[in-house]
Order: sequence, then structure tokens, then C-alpha cells
Amino acid sequence: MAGTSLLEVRGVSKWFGGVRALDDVSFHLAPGEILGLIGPNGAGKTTLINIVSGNLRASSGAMWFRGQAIAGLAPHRIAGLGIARSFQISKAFLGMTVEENVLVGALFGTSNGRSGDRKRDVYKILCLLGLEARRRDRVHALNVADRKKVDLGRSLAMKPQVLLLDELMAGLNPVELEALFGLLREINHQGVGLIVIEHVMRVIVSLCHRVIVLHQGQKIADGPPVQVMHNQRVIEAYLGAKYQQSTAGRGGLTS
Amino acid sequence: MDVKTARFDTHVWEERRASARRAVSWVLLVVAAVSLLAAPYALSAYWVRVLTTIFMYGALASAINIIAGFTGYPAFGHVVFFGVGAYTAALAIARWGWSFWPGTVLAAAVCGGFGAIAGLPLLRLRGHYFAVATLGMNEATRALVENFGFTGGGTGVILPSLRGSIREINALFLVLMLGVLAAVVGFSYWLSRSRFGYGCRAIRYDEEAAAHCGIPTTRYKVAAWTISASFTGTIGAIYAYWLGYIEPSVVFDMNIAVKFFVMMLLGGAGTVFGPLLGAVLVEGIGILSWSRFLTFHSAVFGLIIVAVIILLPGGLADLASHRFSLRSLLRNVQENRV
Repeated sequence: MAGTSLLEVRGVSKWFGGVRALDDVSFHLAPGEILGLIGPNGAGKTTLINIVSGNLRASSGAMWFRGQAIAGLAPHRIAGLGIARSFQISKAFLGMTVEENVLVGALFGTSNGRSGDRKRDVYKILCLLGLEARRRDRVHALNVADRKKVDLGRSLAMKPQVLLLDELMAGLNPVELEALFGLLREINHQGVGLIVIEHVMRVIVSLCHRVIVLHQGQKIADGPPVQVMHNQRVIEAYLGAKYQQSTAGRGGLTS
Repeated sequence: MDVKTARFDTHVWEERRASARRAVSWVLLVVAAVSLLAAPYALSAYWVRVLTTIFMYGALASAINIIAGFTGYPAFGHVVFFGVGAYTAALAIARWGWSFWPGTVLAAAVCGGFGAIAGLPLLRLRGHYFAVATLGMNEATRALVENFGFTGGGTGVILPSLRGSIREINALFLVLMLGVLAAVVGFSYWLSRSRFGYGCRAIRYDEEAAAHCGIPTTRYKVAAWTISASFTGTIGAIYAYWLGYIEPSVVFDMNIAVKFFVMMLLGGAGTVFGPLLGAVLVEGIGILSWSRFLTFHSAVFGLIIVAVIILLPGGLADLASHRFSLRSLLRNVQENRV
């Protein structure tokens, strides 16, 4: 299994004092896959991202990235291997310009390109995100949605093989969402595996190949989006009875 | 040239204007350096001393800027490296009979080592906690130096006096301080555009995010502090030789630390030339206010700190990079939630 997976997480648990945030969670990410990670608030989604990216250390369990064990590695080592992440609340470097933020990703990510290539890559990413006109502005002059794009741009510049996106799309308007969908699919077509935390079901259903559902630190479902949405336990734990009724009334999720 | 290409060319023009500005500032720098080297033969001994002091503070402010400005770790007790550098050189020269250059190199090395060893535990702290810890480091080191026998204790160390005319000696120290100033500012310039420098600045703004970008944050912080400490120690060594006599209360003086910290803030933390600008202004104001209001001096100093923090958190260098307006000052006041 570890041979074919980009990322393999097995039996990960995390205790915060007496609270069990994650309980024996296992999953894998195949190359070129978009994996949705959903669940109610406090289910352990962000904790899981933090553990995979090295920000937190798992209490027990193991992780492999392309066959290499990564549990316990420092965040910068994991980033250097090719796992990049964004943050629920943007952590772009506020006092630096948009361009410099993306450049930091390019300088320290997985690539060792020449500075000319790097400059072109940075500019290309800024254009992709529609930030090229603001490239000389400092990030603290930007609104929340644009700051999140800077976060994403910085991660993209690292040329990762796995991208962990923690509620990237919260706060974006429908037009921006559509543009970002296209961008993420494009990145995915280039072979980057994505793990996406979102609360907006429309995002999950239309973007993800597969979804896992966390509830109170446990994985309660794993499968294609539509199948997971009709799972009785998922409906009880997360989506709620109202959701079921409304989707039934409109003839299902896929319409 | 039609409209379409003209629009595309704005980018090129921007670059050209920036490079022209760079060229002008380098020419100014060279002119300034040449006239400064001629200064000891044109100016009175008093003004040469003033200039030397400005260079020393410019160098100190630029050195602390590496860790506090670029990397965002407010090493408030940074004067400890000034003191350790001064003592290392003084002891090497006075006790062991070393000459000046090896003594200075030793001071730089000892301070670098001290910074690296102290940095590993201390740089785990952030913000105020780190600032207070470095204060403690300075006080502890001063207490040790005051109470050890081989450091001369409270009586201090007397260095052998230099041979030569007063004018020659003045010129020597002017050149030495100018040299170390040029070295620190040159390093800051490299820092502002190198990979290492981008890493340090990323740490300043968000250390967690920096680590997730692949930056080895601990290594970078310790390296930045080591380099900063080593420059500061070099300046301390030259100072000891210049003064001819040092004691703990002079070279571990917190007033020196506050002074170069304020210079860095006023000029612009994390900029290349800001700390030097701050040193020129603060020393200039100091000289003027010293002679006119002897007791009012520290009040003026305090007012500057408050005004800069509230109105110009980015320092005077911020005014140069952005268009100056009353509105930008007011916005800073608002952001400070005064």
C-alpha cells in the first residue's frame, strides 16, 4: 500500500492532556487525488493537518510520504520533502510584499531552480491568482480573501507534491470560488495531491474525488462524495436531518 | 510608441527608475566616504570624536538590526556583546600582550560563540520574554565580570596607550569605526536581498508559517544572532582600544543598549540604511540638546521613542519608501489603537 500512495497515515492518535483529539485515524492519498476532509467543528480536521505537516507530533501512529517515514520530522523538513499547507486564518508575511511572500515559497520549497526561473515562476503564480497588479503591495494592505490567495501562492511556489488546504475557500465570493476551483483542478492535473478541508458541501462534492469524515476524532466514513453524503452516520453526526430533507427534495446532491 | 506598448513599458520604467536611484545613492555613499576620510585633517578634534561616535552607534544600530530588525527578535540586552567584546580585547591586549588585530578577531569570535550558545535556549522565547531574558543575560554577565579577579573586577582594565600624534590616533579610530560600519551596512545590504535574509524576514513576520515554507527557523535565528553578536563584539573591541580604559558599568551600560535600539527603531527596523540614519539623527539631536538643556536631554529622547512608535512604526525609512501624507500618519495612530 505504501508503495502506491503519495501519503499514507496509519493509526494516528493525538491527546491534548486528557482530551483525545484524534483516535486511531488511518487514510491514504493517491497521486493526483483530491481528498476532502470534513466533519463538525472540533472533529480534529485541523489537528490532523497539523500532524501531517509536522506542526504537532502525534501521540501514536505512523506516516509515510512516498514510502519515507515522516512522523516526528520538523516542519521545515516535511516542507522540504514536498508537503505544503495553507492556514485556516491566513499566515501570510504581513510586512512583506505579495511578490516577496511568493518568492519565499520559491526560495525554500522543494525546487533548486536558478533565480531567473524563480522570478518567472513567481510571476506566473501571481498571474494565476490574479494578484499580479498588487505584487508590490504589502500584504497588510490586502483583504482577507486576497491574503488567503497569497498563502496559496506561497505554497504553490514551493512546488509541492501534496498540498494541504485548511478552509481555503471560506469567505470567497462565488466568482472567486469558480476561479479557484479551476486553479486547483489545474494544479491537480499536474499531479499534485490535494487534501481539502471545507465546510461548504458544494465545494466538496464538485471538487473532491474522495471524502473522509471525522467525528470526535474518529474517521466515520471514507468514499466518493455522493456515497459519503448519503451515509446515515455522516448525516447524523455532521450534515443533519434537515440537509437530508433538502437534498431529497431537490433530487439529490449531484443535480 | 503606441498606447499598448507604453503600458507594458511602465514595468521597465519602474525598474530603470529604481536602478537610477540605486546608482545615485551609491555615488553619494562614495562621496561621503571620501570626505569623511579627509575629515580628521580638516576638522577639530572635538568634531572628529563626534563623527567617530556617530559611526560607532551607526554600526551598533545596524548590528542589532540583523537580529531585532530583520529577524524580529528584540534583543534588548544586546549591549552584553559590546561589553564582552570590549573585555575580551582589553584582556588580550593588556594582560596577555596581544596586539590590536588578533585581540579584535578574538573578541568577534568569543561574542559569536557566546551568541550561538546563549541563542539556542533564549531564541525559543519570543517577544517580551526574549527581550527580558537578554536583559538578564547582560546583568548576569556584568555581575560576573565585576566579581572575577582576572577581569580586574570593578576597577576595570587599563589598555596600553597608543603611540603617535593625537591627530593620527583620532584618524585611526575614525577609520576603524567607519570600516566596521561599512562592513555591517554592507552585510545588511546583502541580507536584504539574499535567501538567508528572506528567511530571516519570514521568521520575523510569522515563524510558524516560515517553518512550513521549509525554512530551518532555529538554525536561521541562531545564525542571525551569532553574526549580530560578533559584529557588536568587534565594535566593543575597537571602543575599548579607543577609550584606553574600560570598566563594567561603562561597557555593559543599558543606556547604550537603549540608545542603539532607539536609533534602529527611529531609522527603520529591518531596513538597510535606516539604523545609520537613526544614529545620525539621535546623535545630532543629542549634541544639540546636550549643550542647551542638560537635564531635558532624556525627556527629548523619551518623546522621540513615543512619537516614533505611535506615528511611524516602520521608522523614517518608511517615509522614503511610501509617499508621505498626514493620512498615513493618522492611519498608523489608528492601527496602534491609541
